[in-house]
Amino acid sequence: MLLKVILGVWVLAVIYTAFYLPIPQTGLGDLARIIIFHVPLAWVGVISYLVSMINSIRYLRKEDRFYDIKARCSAELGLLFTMLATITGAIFARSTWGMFWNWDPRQTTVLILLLVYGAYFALRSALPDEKVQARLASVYSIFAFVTVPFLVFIIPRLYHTLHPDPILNVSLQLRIDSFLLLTLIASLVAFSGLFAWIYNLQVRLMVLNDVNRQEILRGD
Amino acid sequence: MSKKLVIGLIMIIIFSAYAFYNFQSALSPYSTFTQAASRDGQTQVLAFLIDKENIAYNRQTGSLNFTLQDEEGTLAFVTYRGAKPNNFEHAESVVVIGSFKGNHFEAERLLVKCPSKYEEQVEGTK
Repeated sequence: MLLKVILGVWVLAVIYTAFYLPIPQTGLGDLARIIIFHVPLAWVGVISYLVSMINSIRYLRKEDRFYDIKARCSAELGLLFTMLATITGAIFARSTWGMFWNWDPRQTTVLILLLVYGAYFALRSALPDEKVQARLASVYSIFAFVTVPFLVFIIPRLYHTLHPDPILNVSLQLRIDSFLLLTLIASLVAFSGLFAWIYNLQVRLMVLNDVNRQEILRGD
Repeated sequence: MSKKLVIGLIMIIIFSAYAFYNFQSALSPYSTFTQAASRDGQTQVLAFLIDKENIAYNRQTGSLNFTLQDEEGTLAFVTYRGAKPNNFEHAESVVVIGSFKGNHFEAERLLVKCPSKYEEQVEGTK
């Protein structure tokens, strides 16, 4: 309970700061505020996919359904966060470079990423047998994660893109106002906390559902 | 980790790298002026503003005229009907979407890459 309250206050503080912090008026000016949401959403998306892959490996080793549930919840959240990152990115694009969507390499790769993980759920829903579903989905999730570094980190840095250089850029220079950076880190913590909370809730819910279904199947 | 898993992972990585290498041209929508000249219809050309002093606004036609240089070094005279985007002179690169009409490139849209600065600008540094 205490943790939830702290998280709530933390998130509110981040939102407040995002809109009211004094921001350098050169460069992107007020538009830079969106990175306080956009960047953490993208990072948490990647972390979710990583968690999904780790749980998929665990499932394949132990064959415990619990890990499959975890892998699935985490992939769901990954998809949600990536979608939000894409939407905030499109808004950012509209106001910085002039169009919501122009098939910039950044946009194309994130769309591929969404399709890769969309296919994960298509695969799951296509397999009625739970064991087969869990095993194939685990293997797929591992394959899918291999594409993440390429799609998120490598390709957008190889091509010319209208996307502003990432905060962690190739030249490894942090070109960011220190207070903005602090807010960004606070926001990263907030979104990670939000992820952990939703993930935990969702896993518990699905485990309960699963226990319930098993009991019905056994006729208890 | 078992040997089988390591070999499997290495193979997946090699194949993904190979696949992405082959998809290269499909991933970037941006082309050069030479490519744009040989195509009908709209093309997105990535280029750089070379002559910042010579951005002219024609009041009669309501168009913005300037010269761009693409990555191959080809120069093109561009006209764009519309308001000048903020930060246009400071853009790291620009993308013009349109086609060649005679000897000039007519842009229907003008996109700019803003310098990714999230800090107060210090004169003379980039």
